[in-house]
Amino acid sequence: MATHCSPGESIECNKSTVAARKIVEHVYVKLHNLRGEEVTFFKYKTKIRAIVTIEEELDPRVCIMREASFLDLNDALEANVIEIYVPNKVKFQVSSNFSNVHGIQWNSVKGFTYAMIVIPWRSVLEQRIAV
Amino acid sequence: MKANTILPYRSTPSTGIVITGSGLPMDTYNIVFGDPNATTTLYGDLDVLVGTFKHSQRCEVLLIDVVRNFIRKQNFSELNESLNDNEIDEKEYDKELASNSEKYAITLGNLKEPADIHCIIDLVFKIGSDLRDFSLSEISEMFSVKEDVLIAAVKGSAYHQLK
Repeated sequence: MATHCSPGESIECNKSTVAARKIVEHVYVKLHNLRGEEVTFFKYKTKIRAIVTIEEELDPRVCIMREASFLDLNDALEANVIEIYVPNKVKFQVSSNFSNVHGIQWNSVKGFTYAMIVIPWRSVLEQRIAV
Repeated sequence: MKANTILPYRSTPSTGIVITGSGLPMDTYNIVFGDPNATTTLYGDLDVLVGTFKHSQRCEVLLIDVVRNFIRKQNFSELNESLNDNEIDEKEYDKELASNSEKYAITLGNLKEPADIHCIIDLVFKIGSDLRDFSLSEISEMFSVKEDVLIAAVKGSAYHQLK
């Protein structure tokens, strides 16, 4: 179990939990998986703060979309902007008191989930710029 | 050959731009935009002129992709509205997406030609940022190119205008 927060890091799993302050985008896209097959996804994009956690590992435990994806149970992505690709439409529920002050949109995604960090925390960005 | 001489059409590319001339380097070429009576004469090296027109033609192909992807986004948005307004149920929604995915799905892949990145940067620069600051994912969806491919291509080029 680990929390990943660098840009470009990704997870793949059979079931996940998505919690985000705001879901801003919803597009239908076609991507090629590692085997070269075309796969269609609903693409969601989060805003401000988001956490995507693996609830159930892939079976077999082999990357489907990206070789560098994390696959372990409870592995999580935490960042400002995360792109989430799911094969089925997801309805995000509004819930209050996520961070004592702010509410969130969240859902448990039952099915394949591929998520990738696009914009990390400002502190991570600044560290990278400093390096 | 005299400047401003209108020569007959040699060929009609899809852009409607026709290049006429003797084919010798450093010659004068009449560039005819659609109507052969309305000409603009350019002077220059054949390679430069041909390069310019290839760039224009490639930009046109990419712009058509942009418009088609915009239409796909619109179609998808309308389909979602229909579902939200209960005009269709979820079964019909899924069936429509499965049977007509080409109408709704934006394909994200590699650059079709390596030089396309120059056209993309050129087009994004010309569109400008007065209406909207485009994010990388928006540009990726506009031009049907994966974000990591875009980043790698921009890093490999001399331009850094993409945000």
